[in-house]
Amino acid sequence: MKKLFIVIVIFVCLISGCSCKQDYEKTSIYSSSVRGYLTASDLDYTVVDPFGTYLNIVGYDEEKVLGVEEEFNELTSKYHGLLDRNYYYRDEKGVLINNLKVINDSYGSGDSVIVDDILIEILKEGIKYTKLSNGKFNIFVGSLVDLWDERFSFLSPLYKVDPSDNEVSEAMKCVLKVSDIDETFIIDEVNKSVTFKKFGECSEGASITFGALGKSFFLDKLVGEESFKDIGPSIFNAGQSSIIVMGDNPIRSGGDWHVAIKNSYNDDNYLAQLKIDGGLAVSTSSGDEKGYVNNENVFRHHILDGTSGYPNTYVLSATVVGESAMVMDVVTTTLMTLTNLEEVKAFLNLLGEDISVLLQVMEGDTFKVYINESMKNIVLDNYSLMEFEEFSYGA
Amino acid sequence: MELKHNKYDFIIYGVCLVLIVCLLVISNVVTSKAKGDILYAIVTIEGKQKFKLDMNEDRELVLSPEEYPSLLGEMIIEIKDKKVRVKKEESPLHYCSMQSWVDSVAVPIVCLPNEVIITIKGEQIPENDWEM
Repeated sequence: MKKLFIVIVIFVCLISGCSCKQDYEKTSIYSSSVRGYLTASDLDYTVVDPFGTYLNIVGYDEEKVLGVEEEFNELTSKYHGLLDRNYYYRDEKGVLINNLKVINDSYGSGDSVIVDDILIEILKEGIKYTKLSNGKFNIFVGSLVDLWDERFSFLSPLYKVDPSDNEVSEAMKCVLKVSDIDETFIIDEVNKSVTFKKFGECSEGASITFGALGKSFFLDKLVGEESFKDIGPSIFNAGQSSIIVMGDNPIRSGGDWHVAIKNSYNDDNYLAQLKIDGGLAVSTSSGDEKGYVNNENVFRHHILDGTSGYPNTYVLSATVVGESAMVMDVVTTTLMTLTNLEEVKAFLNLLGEDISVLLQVMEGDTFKVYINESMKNIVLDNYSLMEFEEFSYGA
Repeated sequence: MELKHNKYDFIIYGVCLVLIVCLLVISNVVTSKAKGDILYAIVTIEGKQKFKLDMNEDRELVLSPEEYPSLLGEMIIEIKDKKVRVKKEESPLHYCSMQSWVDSVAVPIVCLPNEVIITIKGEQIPENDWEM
């Protein structure tokens, strides 16, 4: 009788234990707005969203996530302040920081600007990928971004109005060509300074912009910080388009993270569900997140081809998975500027690493979805009604 | 004196066991179904949770800067058809009202200049951990 009773108790415990899910509560911390000063000399400021978006960390260990909140905001503020090209920033003593805006201000003056190691590192990375993409991705496109930016803001009178060819051509004069970078933009790593010399017909207005590169560079740095390595399973997000997942996901039996990718053809549906392992970064870029159709029925988006001054519309969305958020962001941004599948393959091959790639493209009048083998291995679900076509690029 | 069990005792034990198992399974199915249906929009203002809105009830929530000093102007949060959006707000770039409808636990609405964050929470295991 005793034996039978024990067997029943164990069986009941097993049944109840198996079928009761453990509740996992997520905790999020969000970046705070920062003060951006309008001029270098006075104290008028405006409230600025770090990296023009929001950053957050979502984790399952409430105590550990909340434990890094203060440091998260300090680091966000520090990196944004250094990498922003629109405003000036001051340190806790009120002293002006030599940031990207200060570097851009120095254009053509011949002055060297002493800068933080962080700026030197990201400038070197930006130049590396500007050269690798042969100027399609180009950090020296500030003049172009300024020309196009208002076209995407519904608050602007220029909303949905293309710049004229002449305006684009003028802005292109201040976009530094790959062949001129080394003699025009000098990085002195010994003295920790940079010099932005005058070039070509650009008398003023040349400027560097990190765009999406800044926030993803920051994500990589953040997950590398000692205090952030230990916060348990979590998602580090920069602006919803660039994430790094960390650790084993406690709500999935395999420990992986399920990430849904937006469908550029159909707002009501997602394109695919991906299975991402801890430690990997996912980046996605698409034209429709900031774009319009002009009066000639041509689609325009905000990712500009640094060699032509215009957006290209072959790639409608690009999603990649790999180890570095910054590299993934550069890759998706560059892919958006390419004009055919051969260019896509050639660029991916130059990177020399296996990256999982998912592309929505427009070939003539036909929508297509291309996927490479490593991406195919992590697609859990194809939410679209289209078949994904496989491609390889030889890495 | 030790009682001896006959075969009818074992039949009763068996029936009891089957009943217990059935009850557990049914209760878990019912519970998980109920959990899956309950979604809330959690409205956090200035870092503190202020509202927990049932996503099954269509409604508008009007927030004023007089009541919440971090707001740059009147803000209206709308819930309709199990989706939530910021219908009206004041901010330099209007990011959070431009974001429009959200119905996923994986996608928050963040109004940084107003210090308002809206997240959807539920008791079910979400299909996706992140949507982008």
